Amino acid sequence: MKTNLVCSILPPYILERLARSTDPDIRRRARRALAEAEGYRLARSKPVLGPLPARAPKGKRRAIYDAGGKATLPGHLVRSEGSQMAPDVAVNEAYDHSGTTYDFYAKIFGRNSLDDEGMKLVSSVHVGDEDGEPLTNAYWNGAQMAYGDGDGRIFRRFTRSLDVIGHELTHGVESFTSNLLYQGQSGALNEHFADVFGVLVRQWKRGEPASEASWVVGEDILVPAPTRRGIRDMERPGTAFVNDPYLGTDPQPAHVKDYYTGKLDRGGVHLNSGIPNRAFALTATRLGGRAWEVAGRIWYDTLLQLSNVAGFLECARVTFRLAKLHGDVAQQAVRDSWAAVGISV
Amino acid sequence: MQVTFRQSGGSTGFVRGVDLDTARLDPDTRGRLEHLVATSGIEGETSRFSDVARDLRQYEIVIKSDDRVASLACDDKTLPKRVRPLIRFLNEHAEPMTP
Repeated sequence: MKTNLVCSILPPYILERLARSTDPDIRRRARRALAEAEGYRLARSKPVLGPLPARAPKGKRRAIYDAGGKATLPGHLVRSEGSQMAPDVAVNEAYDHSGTTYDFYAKIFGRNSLDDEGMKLVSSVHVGDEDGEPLTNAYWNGAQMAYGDGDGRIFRRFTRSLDVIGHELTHGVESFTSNLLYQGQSGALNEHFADVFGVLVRQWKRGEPASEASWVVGEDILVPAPTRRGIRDMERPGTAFVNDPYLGTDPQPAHVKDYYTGKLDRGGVHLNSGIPNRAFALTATRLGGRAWEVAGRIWYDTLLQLSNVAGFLECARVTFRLAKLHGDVAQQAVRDSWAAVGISV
Repeated sequence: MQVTFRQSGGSTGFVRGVDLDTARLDPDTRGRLEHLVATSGIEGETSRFSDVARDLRQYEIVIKSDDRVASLACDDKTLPKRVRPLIRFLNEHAEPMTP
C-alpha cells in the first residue's frame, strides 16, 4: 500500500531522511512531500488534509513571486498560470522561461513537470542576499527557484537566461530522479545534467542543430566584456572566460587528467562537470542533427537510471548501453566522446 | 593571526578568495578583522551544508593563531548570521583565484 507522505504526520527530519532513501519510490514520494510541504508553508495556506489527487494535474502550473530584494522566499505572488503579463520584465522572463522548460520536458521526454506528477513551478525574482544587496546568483532551494538581479557590473538579471532557468529547473528534475549526491563526482554529474538540459532547452527553443548551436552556458547573465563569453563552455571547458579582472580564468577541466581533487565547491561540482559536459557536446556534434533528439534522449534516460552515488564511469557505461537503442553509429559516438575526455567504456 | 577565505560554487562556480595575515595589515584593518573574527563565533572545525539546495555559494574560512586553528565550511543556507559581517569583509578583499 502506498502512503501519502504529504498528508502523513511525519516530521520534516524524517521526511528528509526518507528523501535520501536508496528506494527510488520512497525517495520520490518523500521529496514530493517535502516540496509540497514547503510550497504550502511558503504560500502560508493551511495544509491540505485530504488525499492527493488520484491523477496528476495536466499542463503547466507556474507561480512567480517577487522577493522584493530580500533573501526570504518566496515573497509575494505577482503572476500565476494564465494571468496577464506583468509590468516587470523579470517576472515575465521567469514565467516564460520556466514555461519553455516545462514544454521541453513534456514534448521531448513526456515528463509532466519536475516530479512527473504536475508539480507547480515556483520561482522568486528580485531575490537579495542577507545584506540586502541584489543577489548575484540563481539557485534551487529544494522546493523552488530563486533568481537574483545581479550587480549590474559583472552580472545582469539571472532571469534573462533561458539556459540558466533550464539549469535550475533540471536540478528539480534530478531531485525526483537520480538525486545525485551533491559532492565530488556524483555532484559534478548533478551539475553536468543541469547544464546539458539547460542548454538543450535553449537549442530546442531556437531550433538549432548541434553543429550550429552554442554550447556556452550563461552568456545572458554576464555584462559583456572581451574577457568573458559565459560562465561555462560545454564544448571547450576552461575557455568561457580568460584573464577576466573579476572572474579570473575559467578553471573547468576538459579531461580527467586535470580532474580537480580539492575541497572547494563541494569537491568541484561546478569544476569537474566540464569533463562530462565535453563528452556530451562531442556526442551531440558527432551525431549531428538536433542534440535533444538522440544525445539528449540517451542522457535523459541515463538520468533516470543512475544511482545517487554514480561517478563518471558509471554514467559513461549507462550512456553507452542506452546508446545501443539508437544504433551502432550512436553507440560509437558515445564511446569516442567519453574516450576523448579520458574515460573508456 | 592568519585568515584564509575561499568562496566557490553558486550557479556560476566562480572561485574567489584571500589570505590575510594581521601582522601585515594596517592597524585599522587589523583591528576590524580581529573584531569580526572574535564576534563570528567560529571555533573548532565546523562543516555544514544544505542537503537539498543546489547552486548555493560555498564558503570556507580557516583562522590560525598562536594557540588555535578554527575553521568553518558552509553555504548560503547554513551560514551563521554572526559570520556574515566577516564574510562581507573578506569578500571586499577577495580576488579571483585558481581553485
